[in-house]
Amino acid sequence: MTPLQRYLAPELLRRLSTLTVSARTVAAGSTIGVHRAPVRGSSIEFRQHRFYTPGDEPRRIDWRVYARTDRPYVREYEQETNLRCLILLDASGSMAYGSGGESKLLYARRAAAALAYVMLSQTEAVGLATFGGTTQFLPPHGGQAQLSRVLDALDHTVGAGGGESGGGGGGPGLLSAACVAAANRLTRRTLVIVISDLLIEPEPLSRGLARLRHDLHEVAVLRVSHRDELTFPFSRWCRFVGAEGEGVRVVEPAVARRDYLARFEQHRERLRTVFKPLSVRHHEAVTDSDLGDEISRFIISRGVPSPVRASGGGGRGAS
Amino acid sequence: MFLSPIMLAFVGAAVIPLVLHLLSRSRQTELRWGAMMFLDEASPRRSRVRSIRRYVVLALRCLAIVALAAAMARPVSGTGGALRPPGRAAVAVIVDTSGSTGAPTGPGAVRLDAIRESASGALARLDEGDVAALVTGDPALPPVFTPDRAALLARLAVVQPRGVGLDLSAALGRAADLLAAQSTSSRTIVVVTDRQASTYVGIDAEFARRFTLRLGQAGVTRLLFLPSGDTDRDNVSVREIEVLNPPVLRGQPARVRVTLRNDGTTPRPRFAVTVRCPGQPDTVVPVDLAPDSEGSAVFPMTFAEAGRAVVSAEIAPTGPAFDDRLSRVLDVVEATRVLVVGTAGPASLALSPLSAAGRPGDTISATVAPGGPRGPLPRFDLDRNAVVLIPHLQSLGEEDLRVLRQFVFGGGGLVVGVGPLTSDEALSRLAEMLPASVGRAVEAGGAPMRVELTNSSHAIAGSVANAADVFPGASVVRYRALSGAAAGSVVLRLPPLTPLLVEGRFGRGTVLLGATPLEGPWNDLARSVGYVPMLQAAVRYAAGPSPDAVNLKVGDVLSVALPPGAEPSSAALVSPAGLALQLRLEQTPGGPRLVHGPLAQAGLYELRYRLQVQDPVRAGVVEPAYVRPPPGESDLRADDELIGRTAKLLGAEIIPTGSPLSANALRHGSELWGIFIVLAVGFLVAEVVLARYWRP
Repeated sequence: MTPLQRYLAPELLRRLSTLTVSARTVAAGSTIGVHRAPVRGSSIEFRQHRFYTPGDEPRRIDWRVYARTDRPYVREYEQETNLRCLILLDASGSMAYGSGGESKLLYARRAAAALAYVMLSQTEAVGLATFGGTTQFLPPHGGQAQLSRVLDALDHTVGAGGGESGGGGGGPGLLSAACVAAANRLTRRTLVIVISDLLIEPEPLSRGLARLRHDLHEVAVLRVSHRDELTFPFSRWCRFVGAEGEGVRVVEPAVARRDYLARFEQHRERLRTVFKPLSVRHHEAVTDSDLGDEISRFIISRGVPSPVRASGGGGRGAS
Repeated sequence: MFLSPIMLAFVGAAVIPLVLHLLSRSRQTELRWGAMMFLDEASPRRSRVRSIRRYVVLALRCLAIVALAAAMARPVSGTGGALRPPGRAAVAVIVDTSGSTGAPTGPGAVRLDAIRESASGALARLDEGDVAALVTGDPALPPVFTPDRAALLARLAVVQPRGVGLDLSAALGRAADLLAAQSTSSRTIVVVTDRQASTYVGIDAEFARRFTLRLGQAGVTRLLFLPSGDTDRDNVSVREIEVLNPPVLRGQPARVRVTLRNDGTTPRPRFAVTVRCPGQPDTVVPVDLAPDSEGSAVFPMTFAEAGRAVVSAEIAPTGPAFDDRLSRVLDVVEATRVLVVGTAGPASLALSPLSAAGRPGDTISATVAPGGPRGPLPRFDLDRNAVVLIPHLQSLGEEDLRVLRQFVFGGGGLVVGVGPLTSDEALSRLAEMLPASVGRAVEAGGAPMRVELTNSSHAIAGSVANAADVFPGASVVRYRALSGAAAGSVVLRLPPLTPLLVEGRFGRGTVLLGATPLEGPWNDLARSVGYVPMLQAAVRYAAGPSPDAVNLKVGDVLSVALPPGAEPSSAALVSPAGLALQLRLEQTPGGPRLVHGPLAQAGLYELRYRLQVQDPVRAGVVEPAYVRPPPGESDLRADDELIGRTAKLLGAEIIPTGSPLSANALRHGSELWGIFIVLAVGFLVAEVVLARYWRP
């Protein structure tokens, strides 16, 4: 079994491959939007021809090739098409919840692998940063060798407390700190994809996200939750031990369920209020849902990157 | 008190919720949980409320189990609510042995068999140490409380249908009294009857009210009705034997009517009834009987001897046997002999009606003695007469007075009227025998005055049609003032308070004194239609008391006056079953009387005693007395609705025919398990509601 197959089953790989067209469309559109201003009027190294797809600007059609082949091809240049992406993976103690295939951390690692596979297949540059457990930083690079490096880094990602389902580490400002650390290390505009359960206070998180947005990075958040966290289905008395050192609470679920669910929804609303002014797109996935579907929805939900501050590069922003 | 206290062990199950609660707390599922931020960091107050809620819910669960266990233990009321094991039970079983229980229900079977079976079933529910008594109404089987069930069943086996009805109210009262003397915690009355409606007719709301109080005083905790047997009502009974022309005189034809009743629904054409009388041939007459109706036949009979004769009517067996034969004791009497002492001879105004009254076949035989200044009485044998009637006393000689005095003192009757011809000498000689002093003549207020009766219940009153006008159409214009009469001795009066006829006793005899001549003048009483009946009634009254009633009904007291010369110590009363019954001697103003009763059994009784006479044949006397069964007992009609209403009135529980008694049916009062079931359900509902909706 190859490292890739450890995370992505052949069926999922097949689905991700079919996702490529739409992903490319989105990616291409994004890339164009992002890079249009910086590359205008400058000589850029030609990389390849690509078949014209709806959304491409007609002026970029290579008419010579069109005359020869009677088919529309656009010219692609190395810098304008190479989207830089950093996957920021939360390996804190709370991500350890769940057993076997329903572990949030495992699901997050598979999601990261899938995203890396999709984007590297589109000749994007992908990097990986993990925090909370094993702290790693793999700068964005393109090429299939980068996929192997990403997968290798994921293999070495261990949750806080050790093991795939371990826990114990983390804290309220960990994700924010990770965002800041990533911003410090990213030199060009990058799409930062945060994969986390977001079981933290929204306000500290906003500071880290704001720093990324300040540096003109685009941020997308994939929230990974366990079904138990959404429905609180417990019936017997439970002794909840904080996965990140919050202590112990003995709870009668029948009594606590209503308040729990209300607070969960309230927290979700607070996250929205944090994401919205920062133009952070986010998507929620549940560990018992199909990963392929969730990745597709995530990519689509990102949509066209919203305009960011036109400072630095001008226009709609580019890395 | 609980009927099944063993089930109280399930109260211990109330700890199950507690244990589960503790176990659930100790066996908590431990989870490493990331979303701790959403779990409540409860405030102390909220924690306290939650804790209270937890314990309230827990308590409700425990209470539900306790209530359920209590319901299974079958709590009962009427024990002061004490939680103690059931004590000894006392049960009075009223067994219906009335005549209707002899109705056949099949070959060789009668209703009493079903009653025995139901009563046996009730006795089978007795536990060890319990006592029971059978209340049968049979004097031979007095109720005795015993724990010996075999003895009770043996007594039950020997009870037989009796020709009497079941006086349910009396039986209930007796059972309550019997139970009141029992020192037990549980007292139950079980009424085992057939389904005859007449048994329950006498129970009304007033009786129920009093009886309920009585039950409470007696501590009776439960009353059960066990109506048993079928509803077949086919029955023909001899309902009545009566003399159409009383009294029955020796040698005179008497008309005896026998009435039959068909209580069933089957028409009985030409249903034969046989009349029997000792010394006379049996007579059979067919009677047509429609359903639920009566029919009768008249039998002419003549009795050659004076005394008591027993006439019986008998029909073919239908329904119970007790009413297939009915008897009646007839008093065959001689005519009352009266010696009329007058002054005007046979044509006297007073003598004419009396002579007419004394014609053959009538009850009075009159002989006229023409009175005179020297007195005629010594020439007559007064002992041959019962009464001396002097309509208008004039004079009375010494010899007359002596003879008359002996006659009345020995038991003879004297009816005498005073008027204008009455001499003071005669009055003074007769004064000691008269019930009042005779004074001067008085005008009756100038207007004709009517005569009225002072006491409508007086024996003479039976002959009077109108107590306020004893002699219709007649009046009294003058009278002799009567004074010194004892209170209550005035029989007739002139309004408002003038005595007209006064009674009194002299020796063993009766004296009736009229304030006006019985024949006139001063009045025209003899012209009234009420004159002859009144005079005849006065003569019969003066002749002495009528024979003791010997046709009785169940429940009556037999009271017989012994004739002169009878030996009270030799008297004995023999029951229809041939048993010698105890008699008690009571001294009364009229002489010694033998008393027995109340009579509990229908049938022909015999009173036997000896007379102190030389002739051994005359020495032994046997007087029959007949006690008839209650007529309503022949009506076998069943009425379950009436039984239900009666049970409701008395607060009794009906155990339907064929339904077995529950194991503890005889033990206690009203069961409360239903209430505890409701409580348990209520606790459970409250628990569910609190657990679901109370979220502090």
